[in-house]
Amino acid sequence: MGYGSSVIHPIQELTLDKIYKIKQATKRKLLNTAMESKKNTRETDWVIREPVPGSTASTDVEDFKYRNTSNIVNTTGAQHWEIDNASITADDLSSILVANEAVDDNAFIGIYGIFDLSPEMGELTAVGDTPTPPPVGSLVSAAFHRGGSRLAHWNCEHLYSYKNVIGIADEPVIFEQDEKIDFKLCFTEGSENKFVGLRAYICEPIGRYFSPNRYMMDAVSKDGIYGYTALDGTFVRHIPGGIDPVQELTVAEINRIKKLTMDTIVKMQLEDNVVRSPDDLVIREVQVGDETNATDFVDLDVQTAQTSGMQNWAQDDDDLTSGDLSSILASGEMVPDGKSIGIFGFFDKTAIPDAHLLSLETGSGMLFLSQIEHCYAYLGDVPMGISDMPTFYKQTDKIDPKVAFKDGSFDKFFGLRAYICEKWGDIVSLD
Amino acid sequence: MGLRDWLAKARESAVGTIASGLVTAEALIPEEVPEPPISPPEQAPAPPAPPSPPPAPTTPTVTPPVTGFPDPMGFLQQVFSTINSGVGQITRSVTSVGASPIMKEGGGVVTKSVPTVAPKEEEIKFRGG
Repeated sequence: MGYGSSVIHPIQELTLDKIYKIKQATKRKLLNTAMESKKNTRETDWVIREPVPGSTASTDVEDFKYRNTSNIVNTTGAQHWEIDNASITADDLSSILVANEAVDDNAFIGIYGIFDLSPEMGELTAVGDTPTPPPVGSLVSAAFHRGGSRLAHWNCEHLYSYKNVIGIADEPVIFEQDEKIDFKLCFTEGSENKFVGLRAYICEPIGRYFSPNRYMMDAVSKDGIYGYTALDGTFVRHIPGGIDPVQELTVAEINRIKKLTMDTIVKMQLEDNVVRSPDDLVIREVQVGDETNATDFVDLDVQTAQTSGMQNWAQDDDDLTSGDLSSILASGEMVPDGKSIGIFGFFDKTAIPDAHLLSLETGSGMLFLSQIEHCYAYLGDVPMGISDMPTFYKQTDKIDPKVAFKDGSFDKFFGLRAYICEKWGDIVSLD
Repeated sequence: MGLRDWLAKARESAVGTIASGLVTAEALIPEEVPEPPISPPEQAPAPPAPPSPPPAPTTPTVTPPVTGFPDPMGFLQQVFSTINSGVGQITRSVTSVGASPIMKEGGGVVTKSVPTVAPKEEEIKFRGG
């Protein structure tokens, strides 16, 4: 059986392959546990994403509730990683969850790591604050309890020796539905809020919050959403879900996802009889902007133009509600006739980035959901996340991407990694 | 010539053909072929005997060449067996690659077959669950 491990590795001390395996194994364990608990279900009945913290007043999604939110940004939403100083006793392991918190029915949570956004310049401590990073290195340890048992204890101080404070667990912690849980964190001081988050997945039934459409299901595998193809071409049973920081993917994996996206939007065009042959189609990046005033062209229109005539990804603060999912395109926006779109990630060029929740919706439902804050823990890089479960829209589909920002009072420059497929001659000429 | 005589001559002729072929093949093989070490150096301790013999390998192995052909037909069978097993391996790997739709150069979406190789299981342990 061998010895156990309650070790947390600095992510810099792991290979990309090992990180991939730990994440995949966590997903697999959650999926197996879910199917064991619900005997009549199959893999295709479940989806996986990152869990979302929150409060009793959260409007969009909430998987476990903070103990205190009175001092954090967006007290009501609270769907981002921020530990209220009211929950912290300096030098003590302090519960950050509300008393007697339990995993939701039909939900299964796997925690495989931890990160600290505090070293990132620009994390806000309150709405309207001048960006000031909280004390660096104040996290000491983390403990994860199920009922009266401490399932894991990580001392995290060594993580701060590296620029990016991200730890990956040797043995991830699994919580099943309805189990009583508590997360305890120890900090060296308790006067300021902390921006520590957990690397984790949640497995839940399709439709609980979001339902991938058939294009998404087919893209990953002919047999359903859970395919058997590895992103790097090896024979690993790959389980999609959530968004990975681009820094944690190999170039081969990124290209595999891009190819999957391209192939699928071409296939959709053929299915929809837009053209008879792929020879008649061309793919390019989606162009977003101020449709009314753009000098050239845009594919998708924004609500309020951040700058008149803009032809780029940008969100005007008029369209944003702090802490809530806010539409970043014009109301009722549709995919142009004769075109198809695939979205496989995001990037954030905002100088002080604070996005934390991304949902890709239609006019009638949510296709994809991700808590993306872990992608912001790579200091100095423009944050970028890539999803192994791309989202697809066919021609005339309503397309409604939504992003939650901590502070909606200033403009953002958040963009989607997205391809559009159209006929030669629409924008780009064949000859 | 009776049928019996004709068969005898045909057999001699065939043996002659095989023998001449073997001579040609022998000429291609160097006479001095270093033999692989059979036993470990004297200083090294003898390896302990395994408690039970390991299962026979599924992949055919090629024995080191030796001078002369005490069993020429057996040698040829071994050569053909090795070639055939190689062909089988190549065929299996080709049919196993990829399970996703791919784009043909110049158009046309092609869907490859679902791989038949069993998925890898990773040795990651968990707490709880």
